[in-house]
Amino acid sequence: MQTEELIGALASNCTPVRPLPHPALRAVAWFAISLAYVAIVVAAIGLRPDISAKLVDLRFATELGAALLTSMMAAAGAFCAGCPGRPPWERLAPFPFLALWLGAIGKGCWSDWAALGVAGLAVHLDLICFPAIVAISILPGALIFVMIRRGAPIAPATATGLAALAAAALAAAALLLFHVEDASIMVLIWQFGSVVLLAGLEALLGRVLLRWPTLQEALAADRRIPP
Amino acid sequence: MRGAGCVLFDPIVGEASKRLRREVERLRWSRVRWRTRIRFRESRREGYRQHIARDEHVSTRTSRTKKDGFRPVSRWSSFSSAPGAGVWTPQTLVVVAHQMSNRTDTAAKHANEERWRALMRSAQNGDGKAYAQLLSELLPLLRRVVTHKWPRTLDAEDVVQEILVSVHAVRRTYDASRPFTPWLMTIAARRMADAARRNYARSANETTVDVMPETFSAGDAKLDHEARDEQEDLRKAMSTLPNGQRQAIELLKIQGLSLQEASEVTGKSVTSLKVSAHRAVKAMRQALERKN
Repeated sequence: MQTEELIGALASNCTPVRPLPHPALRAVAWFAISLAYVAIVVAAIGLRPDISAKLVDLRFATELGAALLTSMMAAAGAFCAGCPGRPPWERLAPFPFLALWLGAIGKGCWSDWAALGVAGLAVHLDLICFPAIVAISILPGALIFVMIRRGAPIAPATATGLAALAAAALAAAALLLFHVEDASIMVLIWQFGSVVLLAGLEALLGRVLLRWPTLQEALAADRRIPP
Repeated sequence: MRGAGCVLFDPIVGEASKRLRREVERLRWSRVRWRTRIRFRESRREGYRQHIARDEHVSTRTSRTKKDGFRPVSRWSSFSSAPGAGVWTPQTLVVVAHQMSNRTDTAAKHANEERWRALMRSAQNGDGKAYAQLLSELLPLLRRVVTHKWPRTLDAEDVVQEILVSVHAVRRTYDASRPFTPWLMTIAARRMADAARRNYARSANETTVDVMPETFSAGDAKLDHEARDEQEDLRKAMSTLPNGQRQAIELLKIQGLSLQEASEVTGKSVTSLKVSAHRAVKAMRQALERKN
């Protein structure tokens, strides 16, 4: 097909489209829906018995807040990664909060080491954290995936990785509220580690999950848009 | 105006001409990466303004003219409205050239940008005519960008088409409050990177040869003695095979039986025959390579 013919074909299929809202608005929308879902899950499972004491603990509150902020900023970064022409630094938005989260856990590890010595850093198998994070993050993950598919796949690995980070960080924050796990090294390995692992795996699948449509797919998508 | 290419043919004005030359040397703006060259021509001082009026003093020279689609046009007329146009000293000439080139270049870009934004907004509202105009205006730009990236690639037009399809597919991601060109160029860059990756993957399986090798199986495609030599080599290689492998080759490759038929003849399973044939071919290849 000659390029001029292609332009004619595209112009004749130029159906009206609604421009995507600002990435920040989409991130807030996703976060609000996902937070409501996670709140229902946590309410159904039940809060940990020492939650009132924990919430006044500065380190725990920092951990929880950083996890929630990481989730929201990662969602914003994922949506920015689907908008051509936006500055790339926007995709780095979640990393300060991720560092804060890691720092809070690291501080806990240091306190455990100072108080208990090597015993404070003992690692044992925790079969709840990873499956729980995966299970809780499935629905928010599916929602954010549907939302980033509406963007342009200009940075597919970054977009899917940040989307998975958003969903997994939210699930990890929920886990902090109902799963009693006070050893920071365990939180570091089984909760923070699960979040990083899921984000990395999803980033590897980015090119498979998000790809540019062919001409036929683009035209078919136009025909599906209601007049 | 793309004024970086201005070449001034002047002057007889001793010290002033030296200053002019130094000024023009400074006009090698890296932004447009044009090379300027200064040439001096004998001319009378009194005829200087007349030469300017006849559009003979300024021309545009560039080694990238054809490749990038820039036209070597004398744009002296645009200086007539410039500040200080009535006082044509070499100094004002250079200053005005600088100002005009930047001003017109920026103004043209700004005008294009505004028009494309408006057209894209209309396209998002379903205006096919505006969309066709937009894509038609973008086409030369995209061709230039792609051919600049791959000057001698045959499928550059394919990449341009992919970019246009991608623009169409993700036109909802354009935010009318943001500039259009970065949006377009991000898509173009990603699609060019995809095409480069695809080309690389494809070329990894290709071998460049000076002379196409003869691959005909028929004997008459080769010289008689070459064909005889090869047959003899193959016969020798076959004779060194174990009985089971030689039988598999004779039935499957020489007699042309199917795996099922060969299985019935030999009483061996299909899998066993496959393995035997594979090992036989491998052993014969190694024997021929050793000989060569």
